[in-house]
Amino acid sequence: MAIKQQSLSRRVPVWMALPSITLFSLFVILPAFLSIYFSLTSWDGLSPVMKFIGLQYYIDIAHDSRFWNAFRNSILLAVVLAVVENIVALALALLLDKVIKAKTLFRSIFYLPNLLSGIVTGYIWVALMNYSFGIFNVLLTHIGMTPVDWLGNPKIALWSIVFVMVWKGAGYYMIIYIAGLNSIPQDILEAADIDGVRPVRKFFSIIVPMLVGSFTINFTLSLINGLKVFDQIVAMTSGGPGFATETLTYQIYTVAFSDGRQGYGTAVAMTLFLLTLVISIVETKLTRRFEVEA
Amino acid sequence: MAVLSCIFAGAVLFANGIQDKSAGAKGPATVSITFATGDVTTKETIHTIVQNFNKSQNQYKLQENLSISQGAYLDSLKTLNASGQMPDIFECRDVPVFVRADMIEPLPQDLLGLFETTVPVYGTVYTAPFVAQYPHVILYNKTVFDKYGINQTPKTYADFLKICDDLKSHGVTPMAAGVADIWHIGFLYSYFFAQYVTHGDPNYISKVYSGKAKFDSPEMIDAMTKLQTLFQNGDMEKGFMSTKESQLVSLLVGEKAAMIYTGSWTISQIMEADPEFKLGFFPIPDDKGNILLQGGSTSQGWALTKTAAKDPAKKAAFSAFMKYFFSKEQYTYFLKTTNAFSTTKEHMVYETTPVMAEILKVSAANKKYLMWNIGVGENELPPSFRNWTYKKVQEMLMGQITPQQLVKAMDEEWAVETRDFNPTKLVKKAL
Repeated sequence: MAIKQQSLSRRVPVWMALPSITLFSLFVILPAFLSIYFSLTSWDGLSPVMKFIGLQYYIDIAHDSRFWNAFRNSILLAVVLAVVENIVALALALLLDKVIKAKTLFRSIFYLPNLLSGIVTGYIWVALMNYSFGIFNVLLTHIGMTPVDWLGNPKIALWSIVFVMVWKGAGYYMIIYIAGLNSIPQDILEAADIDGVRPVRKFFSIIVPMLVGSFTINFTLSLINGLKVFDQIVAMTSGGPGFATETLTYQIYTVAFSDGRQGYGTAVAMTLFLLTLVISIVETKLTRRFEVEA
Repeated sequence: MAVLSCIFAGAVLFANGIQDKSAGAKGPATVSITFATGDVTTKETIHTIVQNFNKSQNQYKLQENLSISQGAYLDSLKTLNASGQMPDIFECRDVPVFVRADMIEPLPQDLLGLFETTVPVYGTVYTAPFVAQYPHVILYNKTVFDKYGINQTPKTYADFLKICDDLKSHGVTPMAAGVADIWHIGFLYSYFFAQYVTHGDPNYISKVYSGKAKFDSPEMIDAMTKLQTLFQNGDMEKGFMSTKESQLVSLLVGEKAAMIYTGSWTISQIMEADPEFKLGFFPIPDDKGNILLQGGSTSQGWALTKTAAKDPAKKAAFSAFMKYFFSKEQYTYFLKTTNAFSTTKEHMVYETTPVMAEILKVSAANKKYLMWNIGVGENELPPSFRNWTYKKVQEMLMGQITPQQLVKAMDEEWAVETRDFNPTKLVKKAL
């Protein structure tokens, strides 16, 4: 009787998880496997005809300058975002750690942009950065400077997107750093103060090693978010001017949906999936080496 | 778990029950409809006609889907189709794509007779065209022209450049273009391509397929050099690369640019923004003074899906709506408010603005060309080629590549894209 009850209690969690597993398999796992097949066809996304072409699109990708341009932009965006977002987020967390009054208010203010959708923030910043009517150029003109084409200059456009993404995302990573800072045992910090450790030394020798866990999470998340960025690109530049801000995700969307080359777009998507997987594994393994138990 | 499953199944059955009940209830047949929303005026005009139709009878009820912006129109239709929500009646722009997918019904014979010209796709007419191609012209601020003594419209392309120089010498930005919207680059690109390369030949693209023509040619380099020069020698507003088409009216009315190159639909928006605005227009002539205007019939128009056509009520609703839309009262309202060009056999007489009346006259008197990407059959472009070209043109306008590099790259891209897409084979297969 006891064995039967034990077996039942073991099975119950499996049954409880079944609806989630079914839905996840149906809407995530199955489409992912179907995508592998679509990437081997020249399907246009609408027609019932799917011509099997094998690995042709993967061979094409290797020689496609548009793909490599988007690849370069994606990597650049992801790495710069991961570095800048983390620096800004950590700086904000350290600042707020010192603030005594209205701590919650400041946390909320910095976190607020993260609650807005990427499309909405994109359109807001497009209006602010508009060449003719935007507030930035109005201010620049008022102080006698030449207006800047923030989103139309191919040398600046990608950095304008980085700026907006940092503005939007830093608050989220800041919260994780604040949690990390709060988990550092106070006695260690106090001992360092008593021993007369200088603030810079304290930061690099105590705080940073203790924050590696938060850093690993934040760096991985911001790197993956950088590789996946899509909505800001759509709203702010549509991948332009020319191909200057086209990332792999935006290329997947335009090629697969607008241009009706679903097969090729899916092949690019599979390549992005592999890329993200490899980067995540390498990055996690590297950062775990430096983790310290608090 | 069993209880949860029962609740879930019950909820599904209950929801289906409600749906079935509404479907089975007697009343007007509900038919969904959608269209691409470019400018606000066209969107509101079609919306009004749909509402008028619903009020005019009680057999059918047209239900509008959410607005779909024209920039993402095909993508949105694909998404609606994939999720089983494809509208019954829709404005079909990429007709060959939907014909190849066997998704649209041929236009009934009784409706074919309504139109002056229809464009068959693979030998069959599928759509009820509600606009002929709009002519693209220079719309200019007469007040600014008068102020600086520019009282003659250009007779040649050199005259046009002289006007730009005159305006620049007075510190006025001559032109604005919505280059941030890649489809808007197509207006000027198509003009130079038609005027200096194809000379209005509607079968030019088929010649590229057959190898009789290629993009890397002296004529094409000349045309693209003219286009690039316009953007590089200060004739355009400085922020052109981030200017959207929707900003052009503000730039013209706000005197940030003296001219814009766009379609006649913009007239309504200009007059709405400033009813006192003194608007002038002229077509851009070529070096010898020839005028070639965009115009003519296309395959685009209202279409009925094959799925909807299986339902006799929906099929009848489509016919009824088409007859209503193209009736004298409704269609003249449409033409008047949107400054569109009629497609019907029946001549539509309506009052319009003096500028539009002049454009109609000039359009009737001159040779026409179709936009380069509008061809069907053996003139259909490979699917990515238009957008890819416009992005490359953006690079050329910024001086990142030369016209020579552009045309060379176009031939290379053409070779790659036509490996998957050969309309000659597709035509034979469909027939």
